[in-house]
Amino acid sequence: MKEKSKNLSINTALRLPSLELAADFHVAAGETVALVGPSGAGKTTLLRLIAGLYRPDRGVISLGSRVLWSVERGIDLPPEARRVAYVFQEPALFPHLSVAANVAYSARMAGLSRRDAARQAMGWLERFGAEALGNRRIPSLSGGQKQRVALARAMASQPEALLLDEPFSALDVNTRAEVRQAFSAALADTPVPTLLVTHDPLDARFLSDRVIVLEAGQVTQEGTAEALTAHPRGAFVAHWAGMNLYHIRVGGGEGLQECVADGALFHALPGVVRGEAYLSFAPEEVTLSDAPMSGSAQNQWPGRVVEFASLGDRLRVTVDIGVRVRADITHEAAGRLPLAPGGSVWLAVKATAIRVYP
Amino acid sequence: MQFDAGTEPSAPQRRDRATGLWLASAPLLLYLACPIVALILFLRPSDWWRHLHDPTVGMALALTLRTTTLATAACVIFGLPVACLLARGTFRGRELLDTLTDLPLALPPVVAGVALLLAFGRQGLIGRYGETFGVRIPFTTLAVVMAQVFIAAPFFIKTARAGLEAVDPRLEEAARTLGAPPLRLFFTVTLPLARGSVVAGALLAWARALSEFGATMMFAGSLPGTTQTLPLAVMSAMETNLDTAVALSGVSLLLALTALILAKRLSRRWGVAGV
Repeated sequence: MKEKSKNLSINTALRLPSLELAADFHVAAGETVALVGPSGAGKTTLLRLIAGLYRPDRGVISLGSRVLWSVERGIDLPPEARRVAYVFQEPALFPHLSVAANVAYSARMAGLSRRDAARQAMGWLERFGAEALGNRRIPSLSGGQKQRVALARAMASQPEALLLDEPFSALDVNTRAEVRQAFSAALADTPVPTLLVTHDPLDARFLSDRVIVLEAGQVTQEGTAEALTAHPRGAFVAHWAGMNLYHIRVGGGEGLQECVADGALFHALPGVVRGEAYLSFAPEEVTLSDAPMSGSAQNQWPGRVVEFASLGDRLRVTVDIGVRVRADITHEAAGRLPLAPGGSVWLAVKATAIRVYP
Repeated sequence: MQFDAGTEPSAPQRRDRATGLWLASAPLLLYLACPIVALILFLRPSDWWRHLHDPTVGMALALTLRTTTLATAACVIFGLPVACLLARGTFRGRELLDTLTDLPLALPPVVAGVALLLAFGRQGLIGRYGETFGVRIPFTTLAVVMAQVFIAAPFFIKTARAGLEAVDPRLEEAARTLGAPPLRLFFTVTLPLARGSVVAGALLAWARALSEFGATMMFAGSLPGTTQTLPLAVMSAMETNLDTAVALSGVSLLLALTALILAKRLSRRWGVAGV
């Protein structure tokens, strides 16, 4: 890990029958960027372009001063020359080699002697709490163990960039938290740029410095996970961040500001935003009741229950008030409600919980 | 409920149709077994041992082992790239290539022999150039090996290809992103993972080369010590001495059984299907 830190810079496009991919962004050395987006948005395709497993149509991909791919200059480094390690969704460990030999394999390919490679492999396994697995055969490992070994193997190749393609998605909830912890520690002191594809907002929040949203092959939003959650600008991000989001027109109004969505009227605190804007609030900020609520809540509507699902200790209820609103309520609160599809309820949101932004 | 001590619990027994299947299979199984049994019964062990010391037998056996080993090696060395090509690539003319490598399976070996003569014979397409340098292929031991390669190569290619196709391409991609160049990747990942099929394919090719007759007869003739392999020696002995012919047949049977049993053993150990 003595190499100089290098930025990963991507400016590339690929036209496929199902997708037109165009991406232009940088990942700084030591930075972890989470790549999120709906299925089929081109996240994996993009990683494969960077790793050299697919060929783009145009653009430049470079890592520090090294150009990995450039159509103008006719450069197309093969995957083995890119020093870009790729951790796949299924760990893709070599079934004919032991755990230690899997990790030593990439150290060998990086040019180490057999003895040095074996020592390095042991070191990496220790880092990921997998040193006891060294002599085990791959099929005898659990999913979480496999993914740790896959990461150790990727790190042992002395990569200059790291690509992680949904490394936790095949794991169960408990293992996921544990493996995420191991990855987090590794990524925190890795000086290389890292790109992490994930569906799980928790991964993005926990592991990444920045989130890039890819929809239908295009980058639609980017920022920290907090910023995206606070100001989603699109159905995917809103859903990903678990927020209610509406496209609105800001109207007049005395005191509170009137915000007209397609089918409902919201009242927000006065602000500077005018005209077309986004309005969002968290499902936890919504209250439901079986009768009109007393008090001064201006954001109060009668509605009908569309569907509901358990989130463990809470219940997520979708209510139609002209627009669809998702509300997270306690089971205790749910007990007093006519919870059946079509059941009529009253829905309220405090104006202070509502964000309006362009 | 109590189980008797010492009784291993086993999987529940599935109701099957074994009796009916056995009855239906009996005719063909008996038919296949009959000639083999007749052959074994005919060679009384003591006689067989004596006939084995017949110089014709020894010579034919030595020549056969030498040529089939060379032919198998050639099938593996030159067949592996072809198997990879067919297993991995999607390219124009793949179907044509596939048909070409299958053709020797469908072609009567005698016809293969004629074709080999037309290509490498003294007046042949390529053979005529060899003639000017004093290289003559037909009716030499090299011709025997060439005939065997021609006939046996499809067996190796088909089996090896199936094994190579079964190697998960993601493992190869992983190896490349970890820094393995293609050739190194092949020898460190692809080949070890497909080794069962490659070895089984080599054994099947060897077994086919052992039984090669028609093409060898045409292209190499039947010269004792030079081109007369076991099958040809059997044919030749049938005209003079039935006992020698049967002794030679017994040796062939033994070699064939060895090759097949090895192929099945190895493929079972390494998890290869279809051998």
